[in-house]
Amino acid sequence: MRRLYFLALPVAFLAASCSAPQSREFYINAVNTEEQPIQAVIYVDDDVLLNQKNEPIRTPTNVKLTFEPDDDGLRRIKVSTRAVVVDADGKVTYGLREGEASPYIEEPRMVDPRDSKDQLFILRRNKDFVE
Amino acid sequence: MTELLQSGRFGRAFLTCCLLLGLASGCSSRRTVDIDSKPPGATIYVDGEKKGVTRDQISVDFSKVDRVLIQIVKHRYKPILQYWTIDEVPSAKRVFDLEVD
Repeated sequence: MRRLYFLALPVAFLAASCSAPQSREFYINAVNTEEQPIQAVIYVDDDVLLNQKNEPIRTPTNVKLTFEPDDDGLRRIKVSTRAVVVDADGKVTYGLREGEASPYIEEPRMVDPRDSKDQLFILRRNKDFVE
Repeated sequence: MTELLQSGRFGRAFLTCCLLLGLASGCSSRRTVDIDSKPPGATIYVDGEKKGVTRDQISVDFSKVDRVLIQIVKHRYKPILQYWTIDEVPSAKRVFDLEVD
């Protein structure tokens, strides 16, 4: 009977860790089909990621994602990159406002907490793009 | 021989051999696959890392991930993206048909 007390603690710890959100850092990068780096902002669950100055965070960068528990373990998170036009200072000048097309086609994906840290987005050119 | 069997050393040695054979054959988290494309000359990325150009043999490591992201890219063609779990790695050559973009 005494052994059961020893078992209760790890079982409780396991149950708590399975139902708790988990954070993990990913390296997000974007290139075109010529494998050249492109300037892109990052969307997580359809929301653009912003830095402390309220400016969109651009690739390449490390991003911490927090995975919420669901019935199957941890819920995958929708991540996408959207190519934008930036000026010499790195400020986004085109591609974020409503109605502005992106120079490349977005490619959303569902990131799993057990996926590789490196998330490379290879984007195709948007032939309809007119700045 | 009888002494060896009675001492239990034979049993331990046999079990060790079985364990080593098991590890070498079925428990490996690494898979090797030939990747080709039509047309050839496309870059192969595995989990964001450039691994070769079709046709190449690549090694895929599942020791830290449940699935790997395979991306095949060639300029003027639509890139291909696929997730593979360890059970989904093709046993023979895998040919990707690239579509003109």
